[in-house]
Amino acid sequence: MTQSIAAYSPSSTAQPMADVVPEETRSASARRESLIVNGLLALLGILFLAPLLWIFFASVDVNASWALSWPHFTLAHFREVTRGDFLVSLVNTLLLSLVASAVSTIAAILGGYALSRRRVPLADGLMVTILFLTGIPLAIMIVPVFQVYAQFNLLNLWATGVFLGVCSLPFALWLIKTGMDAVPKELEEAARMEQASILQIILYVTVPVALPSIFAALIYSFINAWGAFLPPLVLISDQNQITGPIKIYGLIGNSDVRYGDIAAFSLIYSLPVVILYILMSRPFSGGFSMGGAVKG
Amino acid sequence: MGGDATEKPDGVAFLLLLPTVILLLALFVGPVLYAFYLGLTNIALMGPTARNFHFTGMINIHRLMRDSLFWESLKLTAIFVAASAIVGVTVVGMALAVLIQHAVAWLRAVVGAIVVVAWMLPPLTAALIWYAFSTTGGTLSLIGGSQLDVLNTFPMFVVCLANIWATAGFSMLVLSAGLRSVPTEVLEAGRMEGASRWRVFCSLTIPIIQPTIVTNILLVTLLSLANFSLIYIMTGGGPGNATNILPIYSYQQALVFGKLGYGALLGDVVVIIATIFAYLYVRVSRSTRMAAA
Repeated sequence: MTQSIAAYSPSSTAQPMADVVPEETRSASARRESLIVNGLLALLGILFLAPLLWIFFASVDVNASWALSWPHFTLAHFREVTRGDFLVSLVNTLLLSLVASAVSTIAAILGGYALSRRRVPLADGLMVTILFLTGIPLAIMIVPVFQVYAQFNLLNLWATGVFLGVCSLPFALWLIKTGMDAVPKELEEAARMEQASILQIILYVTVPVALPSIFAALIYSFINAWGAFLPPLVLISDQNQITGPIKIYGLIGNSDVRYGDIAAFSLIYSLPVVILYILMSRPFSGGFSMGGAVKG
Repeated sequence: MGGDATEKPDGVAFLLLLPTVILLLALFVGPVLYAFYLGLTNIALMGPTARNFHFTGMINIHRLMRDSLFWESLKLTAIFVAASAIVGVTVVGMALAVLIQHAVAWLRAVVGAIVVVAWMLPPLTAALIWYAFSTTGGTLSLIGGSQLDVLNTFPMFVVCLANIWATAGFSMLVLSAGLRSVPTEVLEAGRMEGASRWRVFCSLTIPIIQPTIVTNILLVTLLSLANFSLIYIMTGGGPGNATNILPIYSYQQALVFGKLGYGALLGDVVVIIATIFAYLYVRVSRSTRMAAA
């Protein structure tokens, strides 16, 4: 996922093909081609936009329903969903995602450093295994985790956060190890001369330089946990700890569906992901694109 | 890859790797192995076999072989992955990548943003949007007649469309990167020879970016194979069992009907299929890097 995000930037796209052929000789056909290309793209854009419209309209519509209609403007839905148990579920989602991203990033910084800098037996094999693990849909393997968590009384927000952190760990490890490989070793040599401890070197020398990849891993883990549906649905038993997506899902099933609230809450819930995604697409370049596979 | 080869194996590396190893063993490798064991037991969610379950050998597997719903579910999973991921997402992603490469800047930016937003939205939001779009009284029934319930009438078709909508942005990003790596001179040469754009695309561009296409297909397959939330929220696997793909069937058996053991076995099937694709992905990405080096 991430490799491609960085690669994508509208401004840096290759030269339009029309420039390849001498302009004056084929200008009429070039103009027709450009019309077709732009027309087709606009059509695709409209098709992609159409489903999205509902959520914006319904969130500010007094008479919101599943139907797409021009809204009778109100902010009541947004007021309603930013307090009470709506707010609680958002805070829960935040806590869950913070635990998950802390677990995966801290473990991946230490492990990534060892794999990048120290002599680890079978390091090559380990990296291949880790790349392979990024493709295994762990979030689907909910039964054994549920069984173990139920046994040890761990069906709560915190333990679920740890599980989601582990779901993201292989990709985070891959990102950070690859990022650290690019840090010049001479920087550490100097610190070692000064008798710095290994943790000091990691913390003050390697981490600051490898920050883009660490940042990417952190945001990746955060977004994954933020969007997680099945694990919190199954692994969190306390109603006071349920997360945003579970809250919305419960509302859809209600006998009198509050369409406007659902739309407004989903918008608020989705916003952080969009912001983080934009942040992540900047600093990061390189690494592997497997990560999206953990989405469950 | 493993650091300075002259250094001796050290305890520090071991300590640094310890958290990762413990976490992966306890909550990744452990659960996967445990799921394969549970799949061969009579463990239930509630009742006497919830705690006192035991190994039942091949009983669950025999049941799986005779379970017509499982075969149906396997078929639906194959249809969902093939239609939405392999064909739909890849074709739409490629169309977007190519068009965006040639379109005017502002349109490129606007459409690119819409498609990428659709990809980055949390699964729940995407599912909700598509539910509202296709259910009775939703946007589609505005176009097709007020009582039209598209989701209920063509459930598999709609969830495939939803998956294409939610994943094409990813494909577009991957394939755009591939397209940018194609040297312009090669395409120019093709055009000089008098080949049509379509010809140049089919016989020059596609072969050049073939590794990217293969990688893209494998990744999108893995993404769709594990896609529980989108379909579960939109249809719950229904109507009837029309969209009951394996991840949903596994969840149903385990946590709705309480047959944890059998549900675990169904989950194992998903993991085995994913393992094959993940293995292919590792093979492909390693050979591509070898070729690049």
